Amino acid sequence: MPIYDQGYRRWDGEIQPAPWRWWPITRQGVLQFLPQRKYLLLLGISWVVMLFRGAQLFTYLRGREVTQRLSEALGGAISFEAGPGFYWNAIDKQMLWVVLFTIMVGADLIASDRRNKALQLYFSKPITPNDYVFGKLGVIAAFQLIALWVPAMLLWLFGLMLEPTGAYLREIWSVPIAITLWSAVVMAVTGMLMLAMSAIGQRSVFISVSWIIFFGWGPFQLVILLLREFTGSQYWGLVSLHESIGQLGHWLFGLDPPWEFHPALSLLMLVAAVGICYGVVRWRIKPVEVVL
Amino acid sequence: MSLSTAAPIIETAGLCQSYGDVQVLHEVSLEVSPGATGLLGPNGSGKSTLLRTILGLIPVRVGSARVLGHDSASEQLAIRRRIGLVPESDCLIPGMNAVEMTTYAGQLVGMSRTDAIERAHEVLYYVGLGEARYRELEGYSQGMKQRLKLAQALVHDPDLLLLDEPTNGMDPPGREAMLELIRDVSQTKGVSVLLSTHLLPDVEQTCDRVVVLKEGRVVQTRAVERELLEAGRIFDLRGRGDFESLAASLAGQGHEAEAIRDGLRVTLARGHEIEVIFEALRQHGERVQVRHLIEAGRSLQDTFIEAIS
Repeated sequence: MPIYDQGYRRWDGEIQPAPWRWWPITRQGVLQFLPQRKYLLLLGISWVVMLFRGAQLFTYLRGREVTQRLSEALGGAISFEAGPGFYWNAIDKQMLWVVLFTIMVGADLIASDRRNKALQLYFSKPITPNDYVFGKLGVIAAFQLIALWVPAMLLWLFGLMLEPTGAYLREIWSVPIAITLWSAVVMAVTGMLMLAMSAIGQRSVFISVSWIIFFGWGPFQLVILLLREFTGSQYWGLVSLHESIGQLGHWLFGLDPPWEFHPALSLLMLVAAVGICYGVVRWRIKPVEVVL
Repeated sequence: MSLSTAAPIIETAGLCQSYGDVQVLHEVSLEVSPGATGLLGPNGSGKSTLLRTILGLIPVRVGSARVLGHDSASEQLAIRRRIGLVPESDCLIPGMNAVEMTTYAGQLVGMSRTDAIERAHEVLYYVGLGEARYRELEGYSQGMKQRLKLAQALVHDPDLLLLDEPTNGMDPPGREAMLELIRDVSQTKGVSVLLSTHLLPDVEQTCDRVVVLKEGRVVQTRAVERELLEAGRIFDLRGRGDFESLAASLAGQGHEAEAIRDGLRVTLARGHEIEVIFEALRQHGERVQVRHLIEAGRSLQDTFIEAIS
């Protein structure tokens, strides 16, 4: 019977190149959440919503005469169309899932490492602070990718399959670009904001509430609308990250923006927000905590 | 201060570190050669700061530090690739088991997942967590956590292992086992060790050399064995009679003798044995009656206390 040496042996394997140092952090984070039943269930539900959108698209494209007549009968109160506006509407409604997954996945990402003093474990390895930040951001981005980008792209492909004509392709050719750019903006803004909150706070509840406030979502949308009504200024839309993302989304999908100012201002606001959040994260993640 | 003639693995020159206005390291110049070295000092002496500087976690602003041939100020990642750190605090990631945690540590260094998993199993067996390697970390005892920290530091087979108070919170058997592992790693596996601790017996049991820090300054740098040899053997004699004459006789032969309560403490010159005392007693005949003779020894503790006092 062979005897296997279970003692310590030297290892002379290969260390992988530096550009992928963030990947194990993302991978570990995704694998920590993804196998859990609640995440799988929620991801499934987020796709069911998109399936309804697919059914809607099927009705529009395969029953154009019927839907057109219905629209006329309703006096144009409801418009049936399968252009970029439809896709924007579909992806915009997925924001609910973006918010949900960002909070569920992101709230504890850095806070947990800080609570458990695990930062020095990361930084005793050949990991830079940027690797750490992008690795953690990748965890949030992965869930948003599954709930936002993938179903939206599949919806677009489905639309093209239903109406494989040059006219329809000319109408919606820019939609995948808009979906990709908008998803990237959403991931950067919501993800970095969540990392900043997670780097500041300790408790998930505090982090989640702070994130919702700073993002300007839910009841805070109403606050912005009220401020616009009372002051008559359109620029309140810039205060809310959620409104700025919406403004930019309309522009990317070639639609009329809801606010009167130029979407470039929204983009500037979002870039500044991401920059500030990144600064906060870098300031808060220190391998060595010194108490004087 | 140099510890050996072998090429040093750690070299610092005029190294200063401060947190705000508080200066923690004062012009630390030292050379550490391969093997096991103890970094000894009371709490707040700058041991952990020195370790963090070596790892490049704190930027070097004054002075210089080279580790394994790499500059600590500009080549931190190259250094960390070849170093394993066992931090003082728990720093474990909840929701994982030991295999996942150790594999993750290996992947963070840059090992492929396959290599990291294989290696994780090996080192977990080595540190004695083989049977418990699939248990959730939340259920681990303090001793198991310390072993796991050692495993995650060893997973990529570092050339230098930095241990910050590795026996903290461990019960005596666990502590002995941990010290045995450290000794084995440094003496038979070819991994150099820098052990930071305020526990003298840990250094005595595991290290060949010792660096004593006090208030951020290196106050002593010596080989542990040479330390003991140089000090010579010490004996306490108690009884009645003319101990002054006995002391003079021993001093005349090059030994140290100082009066203690009811007797003498004799420190023999290097290389001499107890027969020297017997001979001196024979010469004094009935003038000295010894009722108590015991080897007091001179441990590292004496020199440590002497160095930091």
